[in-house]
Amino acid sequence: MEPPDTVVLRLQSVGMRYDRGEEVLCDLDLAIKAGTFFFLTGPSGAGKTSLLRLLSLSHPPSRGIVELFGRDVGQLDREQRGSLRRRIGVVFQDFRLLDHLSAFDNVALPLRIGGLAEEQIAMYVSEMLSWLGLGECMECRPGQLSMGQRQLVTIARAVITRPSLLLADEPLSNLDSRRRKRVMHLFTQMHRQGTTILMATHDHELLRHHPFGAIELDAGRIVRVTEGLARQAAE
Amino acid sequence: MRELELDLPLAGTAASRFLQWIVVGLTLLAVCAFAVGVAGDAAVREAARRPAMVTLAIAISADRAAEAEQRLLQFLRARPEVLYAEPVPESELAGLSDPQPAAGHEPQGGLLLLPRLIDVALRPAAIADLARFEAELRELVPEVTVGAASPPTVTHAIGRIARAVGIGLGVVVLAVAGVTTILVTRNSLDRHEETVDLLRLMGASDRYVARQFELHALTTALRGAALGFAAGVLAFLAVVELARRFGGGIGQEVALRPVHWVLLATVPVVMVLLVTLSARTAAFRGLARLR
Repeated sequence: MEPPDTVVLRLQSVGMRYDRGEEVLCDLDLAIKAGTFFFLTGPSGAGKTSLLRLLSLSHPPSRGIVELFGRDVGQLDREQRGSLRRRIGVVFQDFRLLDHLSAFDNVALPLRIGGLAEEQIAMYVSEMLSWLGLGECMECRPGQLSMGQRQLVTIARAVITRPSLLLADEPLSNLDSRRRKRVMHLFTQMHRQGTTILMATHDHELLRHHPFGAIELDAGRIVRVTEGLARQAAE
Repeated sequence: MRELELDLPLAGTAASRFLQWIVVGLTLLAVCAFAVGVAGDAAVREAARRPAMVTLAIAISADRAAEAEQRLLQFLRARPEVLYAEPVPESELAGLSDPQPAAGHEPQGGLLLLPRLIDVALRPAAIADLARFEAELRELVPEVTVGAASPPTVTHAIGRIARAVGIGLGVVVLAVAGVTTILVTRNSLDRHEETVDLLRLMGASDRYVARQFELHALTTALRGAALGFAAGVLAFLAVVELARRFGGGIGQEVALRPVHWVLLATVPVVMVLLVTLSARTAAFRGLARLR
């Protein structure tokens, strides 16, 4: 984990476009300190998913500078980008689970990539899936799971490595209230232990109940950044 | 056999599924080609071990012939490259010649001057310097001539062709296996680009992703090469057996030595290594091409 007050994520005049289309993100300037928790809000098409794609290094910026953990990602070679990505957990809105692997193996994937021993992998993954209520489904393939269960497997895969930065795109959208509470509890615990979290959501209830900051996007631009306590006080 | 479970679902790609059967077919062809090659090599080596026969002719008057013949025999039998040297008996000499002198050229006394002949078996290596051998003999008896060495047998000639064609074809088949693996790997990489992206998002290095292709190629090639080798050996033995029965003696000449079987056994090993390395190389190059 990064020491508090370290800027883990900085954007300077960043723009992003898909192929040769128009910019979906324009003139983004942002600095997020280590150990903070921000909701990413805004209407559909505001650019929440695109911003998370940019920060997870799935897509390069068309202009500007993106710095993660103090390093300009545009200057990194493939190996360096790989080691940076191992410090980031990503919850995808469309799950992106591997259909030929079991729930267990999907969650184990980032640990295997990190080179962890199989005994430790078995221990961590079993513990995580059991805690999320998926103990009975470890050997199930994604096709055999409900949408909610798939969502939980995706979340488990993102957090299993205890990343320094967690990017979550609508992680609660397919979950019932009991599971939403459980996942938010998990995220809150991670935040307390120093993980920086950026979570895209449409859910205003969620914002009301959690004292975290919010970054509001509209038409690809950041329109407001509110620190957690200030936001609660204003509300 | 249980499929190896990889992060990339390579076993599900059509091109990857065919790779095993491509390896079976190409190993079979390579084993057959190299079997022909080593059988040819065995025939060439066997022919090279056989002694070369030359005949010495001493055209000299009868009063000096016996003494010259003895001198030559003594010299020849002392030479290490000579396996044996025996004069052709006079009774056989008469049968070898059928003198029909032209009119007006009849020999005096009614007798033809028949040369003395000596059969000499030389070690195969001595054939290379037959001219020097003849020169040494002429220093002893100037009238001696050395006949041409027995020509290489048909087996020797066929063996050389079989060796060249078999080994050449085998190398071509191995090259085809390498190229095919590269094409299959490229195809698989294109089809699984999305999954490769996901692995990279989790921090997978090129080495990690390439290892997936390498492992898949290794297990596929191991199965394919084992099947292909067994089929290739059976096919070769069947052809040899048919040649023995119906080939007019050609099959009798085909006898592989243990060293040849060891060489043949390396064909599937080389095939597995080649396929694995080709997959690894193609994967690394393909990954460098992807964003």
